[in-house]
Amino acid sequence: MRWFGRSLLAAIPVALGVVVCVFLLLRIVPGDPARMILGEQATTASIDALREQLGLNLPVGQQLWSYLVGVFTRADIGTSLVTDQPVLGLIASRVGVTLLLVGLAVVFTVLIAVPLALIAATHKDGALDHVVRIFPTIGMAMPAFWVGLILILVFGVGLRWLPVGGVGNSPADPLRSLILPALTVAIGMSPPLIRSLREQLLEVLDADFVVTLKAARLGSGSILVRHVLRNAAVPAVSLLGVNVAYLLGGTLVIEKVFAINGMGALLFSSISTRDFPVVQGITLVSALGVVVISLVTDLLVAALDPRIRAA
Amino acid sequence: MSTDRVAAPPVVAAPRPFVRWLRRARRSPALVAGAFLLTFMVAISALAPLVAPYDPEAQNLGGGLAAPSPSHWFGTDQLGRDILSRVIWAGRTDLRIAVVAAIVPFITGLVVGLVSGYAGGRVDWVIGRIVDTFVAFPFYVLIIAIVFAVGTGENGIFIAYALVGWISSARVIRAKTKALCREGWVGAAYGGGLSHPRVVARHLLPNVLPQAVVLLMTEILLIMVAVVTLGYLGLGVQPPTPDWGTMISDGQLFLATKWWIPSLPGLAVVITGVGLSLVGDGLADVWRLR
Amino acid sequence: MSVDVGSLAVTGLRISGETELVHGVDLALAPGEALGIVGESGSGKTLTLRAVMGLLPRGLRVSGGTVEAGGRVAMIFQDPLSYLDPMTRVGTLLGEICRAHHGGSVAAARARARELFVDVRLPDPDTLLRRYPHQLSGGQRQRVLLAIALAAQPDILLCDEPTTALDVTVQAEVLALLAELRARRGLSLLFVSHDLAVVASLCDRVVVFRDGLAVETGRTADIVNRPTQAYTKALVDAVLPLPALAEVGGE
Repeated sequence: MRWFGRSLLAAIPVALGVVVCVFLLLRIVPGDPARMILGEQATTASIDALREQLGLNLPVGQQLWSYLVGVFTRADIGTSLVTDQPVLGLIASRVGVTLLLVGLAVVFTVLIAVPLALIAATHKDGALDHVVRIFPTIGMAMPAFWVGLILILVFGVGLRWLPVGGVGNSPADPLRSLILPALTVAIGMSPPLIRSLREQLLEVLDADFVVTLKAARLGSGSILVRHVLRNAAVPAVSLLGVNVAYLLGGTLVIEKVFAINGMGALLFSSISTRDFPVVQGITLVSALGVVVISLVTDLLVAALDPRIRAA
Repeated sequence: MSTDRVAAPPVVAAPRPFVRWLRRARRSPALVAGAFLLTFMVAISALAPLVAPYDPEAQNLGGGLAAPSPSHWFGTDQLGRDILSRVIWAGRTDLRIAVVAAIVPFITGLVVGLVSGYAGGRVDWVIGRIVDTFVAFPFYVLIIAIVFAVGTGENGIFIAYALVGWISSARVIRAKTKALCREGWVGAAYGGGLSHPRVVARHLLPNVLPQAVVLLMTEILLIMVAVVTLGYLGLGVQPPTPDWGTMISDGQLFLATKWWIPSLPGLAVVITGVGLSLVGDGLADVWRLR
Repeated sequence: MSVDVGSLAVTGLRISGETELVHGVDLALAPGEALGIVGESGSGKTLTLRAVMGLLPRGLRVSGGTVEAGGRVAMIFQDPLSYLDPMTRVGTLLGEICRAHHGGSVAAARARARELFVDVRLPDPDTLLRRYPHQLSGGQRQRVLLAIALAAQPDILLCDEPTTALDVTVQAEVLALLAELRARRGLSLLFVSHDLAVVASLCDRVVVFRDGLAVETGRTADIVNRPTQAYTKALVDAVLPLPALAEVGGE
C-alpha cells in the first residue's frame, strides 16, 4: 500500500493550501472586509464590532494560525453571522441532499459516457462516430442551468413525467425529484469524459495485446468488454475524479434552478444575507471534499490496474 | 554578371502563407461552421447600435408579454421591452467581457506552463503544488466566492477569472512544453549559446502557440458561460446593463407560458457557445492537435 | 484446390497501405516443416505473417494474391509484455481462451490452462497462473504466449520474432521448447526473425526477404553455405561464428 501512502502524503499540502486560500478569500477584498459584509450603509460602530468579532484587528499571521488550528483541531470553520450557529452544523444539515445529487449525477454520467464512447470508438470516422462527437461540442457550449431549464420544459412541464422542483416528502420522492437535476449535471459532465474515453478506447483498440486476443480467436464482444474497456477505463476514471471538482460547483448552481434544498441553496441564501463565514465554510468544505474524492479515485484506479499496486 | 537584356522569366508567386492556411482551414467543416456562427454573432453584437431595432431599455408596459410578431421579432418581455434588441445588446456585453476577461489568464497560463515545463525541478514542483491546490476548488464555487468577496459586476468577473482561469491551460501547455523539451533540439538550442529566455521565446513559444490558441477559444467559451451563469444567479452583470443570464433568470417564470422570454436569450448563448466550440475544435483539427 | 492439414500455400501475396509494401510473395510450407523467414526491419516479413493470420494493422490490406492454410493457425509475438493484457492474470486469460476454443465450464478451462502451462515447461504452474504479466520474467511471458497459441490446438504455428526481446540463454530455452513441441505435436512452423543464426538453428528451409520481396529460398544448409544472392551472402557474412552450422544443415 505504499502508493496509497504517497497519495495521502501528496494530499496533505494540498489540504493545507486549500485552507490557506480560503482564509485569504476574505483578504482579497479591496478595502475593509467588514464594510464589504455589512454594506455601504453600515455605521462605524457596527463595522468595528464586526472587525472585533472576526478578529480582523489581529495581525494576519495570528489570524491565519488560529484559523488553521480551528479547522484542523476542532473542525471549527466559523460561525454564521446571521444565525450564530457553527457553520459546520449548518452545512451538515444540508449536505446529504447534495451528496445524493452528486452520486446520482456520477451514475448518469457513466451511463451516458461509456456507451457513447464505445459506439464512437468502434465506428471510428464513421457516421456514428461523427454524430457522437458532436455531443461534446454542443454540450460544452450550453450553460448547465440552461440545460436544466430545457429539461424542465420538456420533461416536467411538457411530458409531465418528473417533478420539477423541491424535494418531496415521501421516501420515494427525494430520488425522483433528483433525477432531472442529476441528469442536467450529467449532461454537463459527460463531454470531456466522452472525448477522453473515446481517445483511450481508440488507443487500446490498436494495442498489441488486442492482437494476441484476436489471434486467439476471442469474440470481439468479449475482447471489448473484458479487456479493452478495463484498460481504457483507468485514465477515464482518473478524469472522472478530476472532473468531480467541476461537477460539484455545477451541482450547487443546478440546485438553484430546481429549487433543491441542499448546500447550494445554503450558499446562495448566505450570499444574499452577506453571511460571509458560511460562504467561506462552504468553499472550504467543497474543496476538501474534492481532495477526499481524489484520494478515493486513486484507490479505485489502483483497484483496476495491478501495475500501480506493484509500484 | 551579364548586362545583356534578357527576358525575365515569369514570376509565379507562391501563395502567401496565410492563403495556404485558409485553404487548409476550409477542409475542416467544424472550423467553417464555427467561424460562420461566431462571425455572425460578433458582427451583430459589434454593430448593435445599428442593428437593434429598438432601445433595449425602452419600456412599454402596455405592450408587455407580447408574442413574436413582425414588429417585434422576438416578442417583448414583462416590461414591454423588445427582446431582440435586448438580446443583441446583451451579446455585446457578454462577448466583450468574455474576450477581455480571457486575456490575463491566457497570458498567465502560457507563461506559467512554459516556465514550469521548461525549468522542471523545484520550480515545476512548487508550481505543481499551487496548481493542485487551486484545482481542488470546484470552479463555480470559487468564482462565486470571489465575486462575492470582490463585488459583483464586470470587475468581479475579471478578477475572479484572472485568479482562477489560468490553471487548465497552464497544465496543458506545461505538458506540451515538457514533450517538446524531450525532443532534444531544445537542449541543443540552449547548448548552442542561446539564453534560457531566448530558447523559450524563439523556439518553444511558436511550437506551443497553436495549442494555446485552441485553449484560448475554450477559455473564452468557459468565461462566456460563466458570465451568463453568474448573471442568471444575480451575481454577474447587474441591471440595467443587459445580459443574457439576467434575461433568462427574469424570464424563468414564463418558461412554460411565454417561452420566448427566457428561451431566445438562451438560444443566443447556445449559438455563440457552439460557434466558439466549433472554432476551437476546427483549429485543433487543422493544426492536427486532435 | 484443397490444402493438406499443416501446410500453407501463399501465392503472389501483395500487401498495401498508402503504398505497396509487399510485392508478390510466394511461400510453401509442408506439413511438419519448419520454414524460417529472415530479413531486416521493414522487409515485410512480419506483415506477411500477419496477413496469413488475417490480422493486418489498421490501414493495411491484402491487395493481391492468396493465402491457403490447412488446419488451424496460431501465432506468437515478439514482445510478450505488450502482447499480454496487463490487467488480467495470465491464468484467467488462458482459461478464457480455452473456453472460447472448446467451450466447457470455467473449472475445466482452468484445468486445461494448467495443463498447457505444464506443456510449455513453466515451473510451479499453480502460482504462475495467478500472476499478472508484469510479475513474470521475459522468458515466462513468452511461454505464456506459446501456451495461448497451443490452446487452439493448431496445426500451423506462426512465430513473429519470439526470441528477439529475450536474453540469449532464455532464447536458447525457448527455441528448444519450440523444437520439442514441433516434434511432439507435429506442428508446422513459420518462424520470422532478423537473426539468421536463430533461424538456421531451428528451421529446415529458409526464405530471405528484402524490401517486400522473397529474394531467395532454399534448404538451410544451402542458403548458409552456398548463397546465390548477394544480399543473402551479406546476411550470412554478418553472422559471426558459423563453422558449427556448416555440418548441422538445419535439423
